[in-house]
Amino acid sequence: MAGLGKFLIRRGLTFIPTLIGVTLIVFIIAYVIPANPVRAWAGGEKASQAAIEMIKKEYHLDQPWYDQYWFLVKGLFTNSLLDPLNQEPVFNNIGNRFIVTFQLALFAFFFVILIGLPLGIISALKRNSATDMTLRIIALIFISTPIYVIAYLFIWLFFIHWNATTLAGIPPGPPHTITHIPVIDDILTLDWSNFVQQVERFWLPGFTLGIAAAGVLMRFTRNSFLEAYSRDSTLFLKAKGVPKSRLYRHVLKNALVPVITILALQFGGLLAGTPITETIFNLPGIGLYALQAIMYLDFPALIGVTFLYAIVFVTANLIADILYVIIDPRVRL
Amino acid sequence: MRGKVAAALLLVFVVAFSVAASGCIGGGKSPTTTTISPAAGKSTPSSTTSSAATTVQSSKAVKYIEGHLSKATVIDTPKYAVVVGPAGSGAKVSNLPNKPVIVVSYKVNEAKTPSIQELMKNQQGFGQINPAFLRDPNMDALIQLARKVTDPNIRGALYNALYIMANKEVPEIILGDNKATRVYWNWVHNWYYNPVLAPRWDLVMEDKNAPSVSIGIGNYKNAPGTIVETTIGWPSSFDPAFDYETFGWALYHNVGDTLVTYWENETKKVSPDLAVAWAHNKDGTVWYFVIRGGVKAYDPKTGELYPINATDVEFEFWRVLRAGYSVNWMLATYTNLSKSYAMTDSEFEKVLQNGGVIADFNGKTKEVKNLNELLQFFGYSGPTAGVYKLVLPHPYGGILSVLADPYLMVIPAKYMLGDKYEEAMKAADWGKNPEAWNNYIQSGSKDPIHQMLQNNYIGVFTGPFYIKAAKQNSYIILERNPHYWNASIWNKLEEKNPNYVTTKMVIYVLSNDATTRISLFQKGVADIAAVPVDRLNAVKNLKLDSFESRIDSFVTPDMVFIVLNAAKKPFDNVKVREALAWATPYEQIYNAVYKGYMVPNYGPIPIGWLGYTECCVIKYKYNIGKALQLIKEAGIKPSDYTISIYYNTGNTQREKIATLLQNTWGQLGFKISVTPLSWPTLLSKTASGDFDVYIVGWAPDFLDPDDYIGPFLQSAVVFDSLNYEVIKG
Amino acid sequence: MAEETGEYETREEYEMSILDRISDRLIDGFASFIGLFKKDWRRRNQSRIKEWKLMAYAVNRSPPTLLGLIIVIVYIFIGIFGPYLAPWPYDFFPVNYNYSTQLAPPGSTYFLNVTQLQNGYIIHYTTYIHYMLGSDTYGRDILSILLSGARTALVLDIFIILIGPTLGIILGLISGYYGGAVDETIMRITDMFLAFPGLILAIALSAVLPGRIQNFLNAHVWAQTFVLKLFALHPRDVNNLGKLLAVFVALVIVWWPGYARVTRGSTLTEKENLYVEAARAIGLPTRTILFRHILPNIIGPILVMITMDFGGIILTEAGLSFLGLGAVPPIPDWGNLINQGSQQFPQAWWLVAFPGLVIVTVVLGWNLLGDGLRDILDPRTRRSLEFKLKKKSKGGEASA
Repeated sequence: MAGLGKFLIRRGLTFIPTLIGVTLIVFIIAYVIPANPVRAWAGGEKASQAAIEMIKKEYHLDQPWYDQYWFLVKGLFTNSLLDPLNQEPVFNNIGNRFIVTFQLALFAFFFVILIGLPLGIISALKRNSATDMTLRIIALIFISTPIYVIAYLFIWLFFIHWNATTLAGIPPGPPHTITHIPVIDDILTLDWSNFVQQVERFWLPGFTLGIAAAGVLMRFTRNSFLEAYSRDSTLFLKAKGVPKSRLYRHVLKNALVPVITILALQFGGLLAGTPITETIFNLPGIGLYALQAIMYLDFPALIGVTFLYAIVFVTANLIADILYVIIDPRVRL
Repeated sequence: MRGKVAAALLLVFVVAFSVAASGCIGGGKSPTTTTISPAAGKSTPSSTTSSAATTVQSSKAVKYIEGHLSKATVIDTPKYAVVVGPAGSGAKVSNLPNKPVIVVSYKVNEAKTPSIQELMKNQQGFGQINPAFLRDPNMDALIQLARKVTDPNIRGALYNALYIMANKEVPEIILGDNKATRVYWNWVHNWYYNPVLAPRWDLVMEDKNAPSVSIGIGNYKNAPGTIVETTIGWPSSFDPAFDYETFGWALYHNVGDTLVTYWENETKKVSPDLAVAWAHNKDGTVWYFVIRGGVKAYDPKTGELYPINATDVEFEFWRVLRAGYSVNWMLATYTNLSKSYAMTDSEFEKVLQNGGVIADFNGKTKEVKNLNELLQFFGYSGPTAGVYKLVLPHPYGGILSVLADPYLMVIPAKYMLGDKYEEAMKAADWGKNPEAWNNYIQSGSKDPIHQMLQNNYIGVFTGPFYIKAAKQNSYIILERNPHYWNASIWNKLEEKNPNYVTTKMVIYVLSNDATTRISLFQKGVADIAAVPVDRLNAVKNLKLDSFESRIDSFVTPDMVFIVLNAAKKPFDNVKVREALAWATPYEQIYNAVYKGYMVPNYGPIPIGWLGYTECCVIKYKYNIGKALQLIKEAGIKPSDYTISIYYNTGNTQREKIATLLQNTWGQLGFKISVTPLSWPTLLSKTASGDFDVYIVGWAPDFLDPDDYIGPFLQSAVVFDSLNYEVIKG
Repeated sequence: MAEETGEYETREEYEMSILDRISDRLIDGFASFIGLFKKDWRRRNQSRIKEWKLMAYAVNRSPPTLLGLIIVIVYIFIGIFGPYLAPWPYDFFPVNYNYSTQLAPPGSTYFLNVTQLQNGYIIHYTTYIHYMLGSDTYGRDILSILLSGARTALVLDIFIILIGPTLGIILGLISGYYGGAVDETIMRITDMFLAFPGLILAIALSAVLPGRIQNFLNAHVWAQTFVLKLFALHPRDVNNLGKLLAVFVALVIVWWPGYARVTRGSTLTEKENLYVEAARAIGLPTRTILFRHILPNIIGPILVMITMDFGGIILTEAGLSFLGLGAVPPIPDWGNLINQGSQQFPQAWWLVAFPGLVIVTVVLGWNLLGDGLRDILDPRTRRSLEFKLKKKSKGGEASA
């Protein structure tokens, strides 16, 4: 696949302007607001004038906008940019919170695949039957419910009633960190007690988040499966007299191609952070961080978060495209 | 068929719906309108003179006033009559009450006094000028005077007068004092309340038989001896010089020591902490603090111990000032650190021998001539580690209160400076020349010491606990400091209470979601929970084993104000402001928003503090008739004005207050709207005077009325001269 | 002959049900109505009318789609008439007159002793207020707020769809048709907006815009009156509109990129067709080619997207209300009710349950309709219906 290399280079080239563009948009939005965030950074009502001046200088807020932008970007990547709200380097903040969001996304993704894929296939196999109808309606109901309604319902059920989860803080990771993501590290270092704790904490938010996405995946899988089923190639195999299991395997392979790309995009979406789930379940992740940054006009944090989003988005799309190319030999770049 | 059924359903639905709706319309209102003609209201009492008791004119005072003031405003306070005005002659007063009179005269320096426009441009709302942008030189005179005066009686009278003036001028409508609620399981004992300081958990005990519940963080359990509190917040910095919020201070109070402190629920006097004794010169401009000996700061990472002496105190104070963060305003305003330094015991003995050094403690006063005498006076007989001489630019009655604030906790200089310690100390001549330290401490967050403190949040502190572990916005774990200098109190506590254990570990579980906090509390994972007042029903009458949940409530000095922009129409007319104060539905707000957890207050000093009084003030209540009357007297047409009430997005209590205000103020004819703003936007607009009305809360920094009166009444007036005289008889 | 079964599945036979007849009448009526203005219209568009009737049959045969359609119709109806049907006005706060009315459970009744100042006169009256579905933290009757809030939701829906997707479709058409540098630029810009998670962007804009919008409104009275009438609000509430409209603008900005992307993709494939080249060859202006030739052919999936997005907008707006952005009381809004409810959960469950139920139903309705539309717009569905209908009534069919 010689084309792959060139494809990657082309995508890489367009990645940079996208990145710059996204951060610039956010920066301009934040900059355009006629509010002086420094007061909020310096202590609110009790902010002293001297402190305000000092912080203004420190963050180059008295400089023109391009100077500010460059200052923020440079500081972000040299890890010298401090978040004015908790005095930590923005990069560290984002790193810590991204881990939480990544873990949440993993759990949600797990449920999405566990629930969405099989149900979608079942629904397709038994098309237009009662099962199919019920599954479709249930999926639609979950897609149509605001996520916080589902979340509160589940908390009431699983935490208050059945005590099947914990809500306090984030459990620390295992002592030996390899990937820095607690669940993965637990599996790699065989630390089962920590693994159990992580699962106890994350399964419910993951489930809540995953259910709506599972509904979407289920419908998509069903459609994709049916579409693959109605193709001429399947008809041909049927005519050849191939046994049903092999037939379905063939159909599945064809059906999964678009599904996998959707999965990649969904995971990217999950990574972008979901402020509502994080608020309700108290997971200090990227979504909450972005929310806070917007509320407090925390420019340094906003720039950092935006960069992260842009990277996630482009990477997810890139992976989806590459997967598409690899799996479906018909697609040429 | 299916289609038919669906159509029938639709028909039934529509019919049923309209029946139901019309039923509601029909059976709902049955108005019996009784129209009363335009509401008559009582006239408001005049604001300048009020004759409380007998009005025997004290001719001496009247003559004095006539000779020294060109205009006089008389304020009747419980013990004194305060008369204030610009210096000059010819002021005539009548009906002076039969009390000692404090006459305050001043001369304003018009050139140096910034105009309101200037202050607005420089965003000085809540800075140099009060948030209502109301200018009254009389008030400024009294405020600046009260800072300098040391006689508590005079001070009290001045604050009384300011309280009463604020009540009549109404630059801010006082909603009331918050009542705090404490939600806890009754296996927690000895949990005291202090209005300014968070509880010291090592003084709080738990029942030995309390249940043990797993938390879900590592292997930690909520067992007897471990206090788990679930609350909101995260320290905005692990460097006390950069933190100016409640949660950070609560943390510092438990891991650090300050010079003096308020012991448990004491509010009237301070107790020794790192300073075992203190004294001051005659006019109160120089204070000496004798530092306790034998105190060692503990580094949990290396096990190293750093002894603390007076130079550490001086260095840390200097660092807080130099860091430049907002919290240093108290040091910048009330102290002169350039002239303050650490002395050895022998140097201090020499000073004492020269005389003129007075100690006050436990209600007694004594001039002390040597160190032993001073220590005996304070009842201390142990080692000392130097003396810190603190110089004030002018005497300040509340200086001890300021020094009790947790951000002034002492951190060993050796730890902060590392290998630059020797060099820095030599350069500053061991504290005699603190300016030299500026080469080793930078302003702002680029300072390496600040960054080190921030990154090493485990820290090196002297307090009863040390920080064992922390995860941002998740949890903080404190463990008992094995090298705490006052560890003996724990044994004493356990001896006195054989069924209780003292606290060896504190875990803060942080969560922004009230439902989660409540859930954690219900399960016993948390001993204590921060629960909003409108959700208290969820934590009432819970039972776990043989224990119950309890809710205590008490009045706090936290107050809520509704700020009116007195520099803008129609609020520039005092009658309009008063009218709005009468049109505020206080009872409804107390019940609907605070569930009864707020009490009325008629002026900007918390209940029970110096200067608070219940006499001679207008006790505003919801009286729409009176409000209307005042509006008529003010002669404005309400429908000309559109008023926006601002509050910060996300604060549902203030949103509800604003909505209720809209409902009642709107009835006067004003066009009112409720506008939430993001926090930075709100701060900006209110600081520059670009607002009509907004709602703000205030919590004390230290236990002195100046912390309230100053910010809420001052207006940056500069005086050429400011004098007072007390006339008796 | 057709009833012979073999290896093929049994052909089902479709009768014209009563629903079919109703839809036929409606469509005929609509056609006649237009015929009043354009004389020749009925005759020239006969096949189009027939297609519409077939689409209606398809809807009638799918119960979920029919359910969705009914829900949507009820939603629109309440959206238009709700504010006038509500038993209690949205800006009446019973909590001012009786504290117990705060968070009252469903089915309770309270006595109110009202003192109000109106036009300089104090009026007294007493009344009973009955809460069918409970009350919120201001004591407002939830049923009334649900009815009034439908208008807010509907107006937001319609206007956002009118502007956002339209913008996106136009940009997508241009981008896909012209290709090259134009395509690249537009796609890069779209990417920039897409890269930012929709909710976060909406939050950022909702936090930033209210001030500016409010200023604009205050400066232009005609805008004020227009918006007030649209949302059925009292003129007193004019200063609360900023936040509401900020959400609107935010959602428009968040919504258009998706449509641009999809439209561009479809345009790319569509423009390779021969008829496009033919149209170009005979010299039709680009505008015509885009809107009268390409667009109708690709509109199918886009229409489905639009229908689903009617529901999606309500969900997003509810999400924003949950985070504290969006309409503020007294403006009635479903999301705001749930916001209040979430802070009281699970004590005041009715504040979450009933608005939640309403939102779920409405969004479900749109989603069902969208689903069904996907089937209907597939020409094969219509053809099979046509085929089966023709088969049944052999001599002289009812449909035109």
